[in-house]
Amino acid sequence: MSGVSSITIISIPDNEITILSDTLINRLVDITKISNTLILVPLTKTINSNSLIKVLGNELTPTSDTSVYRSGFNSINTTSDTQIHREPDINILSNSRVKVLFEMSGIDSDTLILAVYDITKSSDSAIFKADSKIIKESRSAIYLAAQTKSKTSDTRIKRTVDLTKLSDSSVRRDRSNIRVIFQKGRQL
Amino acid sequence: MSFGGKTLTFVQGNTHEGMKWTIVDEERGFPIDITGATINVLVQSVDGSSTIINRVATTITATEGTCKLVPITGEMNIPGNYKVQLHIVFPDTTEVYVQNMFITIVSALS
Repeated sequence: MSGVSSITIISIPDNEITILSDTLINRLVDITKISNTLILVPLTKTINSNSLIKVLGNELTPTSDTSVYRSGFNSINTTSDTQIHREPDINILSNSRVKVLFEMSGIDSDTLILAVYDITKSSDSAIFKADSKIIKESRSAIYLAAQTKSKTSDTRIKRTVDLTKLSDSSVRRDRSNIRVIFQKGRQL
Repeated sequence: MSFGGKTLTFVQGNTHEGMKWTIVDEERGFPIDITGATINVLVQSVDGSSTIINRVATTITATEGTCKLVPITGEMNIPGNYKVQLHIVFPDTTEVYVQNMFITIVSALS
């Protein structure tokens, strides 16, 4: 195992990852320094961001409200009000966000959504995408998934396929009961 | 006699006075537009043993939810108590049955 260092210092004991500061991430086995502020690389996990990511064995543990995490397979954990995700592989897409793929479970926050399978970074403020199911979750935007999804702005996401109403605004209702006035007469 | 619903009385053999219905949205109080709807009227003895009328009502003003049925010769020939049912089929295929209406056919005094 090789050690790596950045502007700060990272120590890498056998098979352990240690966070040394709020700007560093680390991990074991082979570590590759990428910049003066980033470090990473494990065997099966690749993560990076200027924020924080921590990787311990097969688990990702949230480290801040702006980070991304992951834990094992098949489970998604919400860790903050701003991000959620999960997957086997993690790909870094920008210096500010990370996302995930694979299976998606329920998640939600007041500002973001989640995804499945492929994940595509679209902006620094939102993440989306899904396949299978998505679940609504916000008062400011509704998202969903299943096929095609198009990012339309940094705060809204547009989607197709089934839409399920989940907000407090309007709901269409069917015809209400009827009442019949029964009369008789001539020359009706 | 009260049957628990609105009861209209007709004289035996009547073919001049008809029945009129105004269909209203119960919650909003507005007439329901029955344009394109089919409203079938069934008049049956209260014990269900005989049917004296079973045909489609005539729309008066669709947007006001009104329709009527004027009996023809032979339909109101037998005195007795009858229950009335409307079967309304709207253009979107939704349908509603309205019951709790009755008529009494009485013999003319002589």
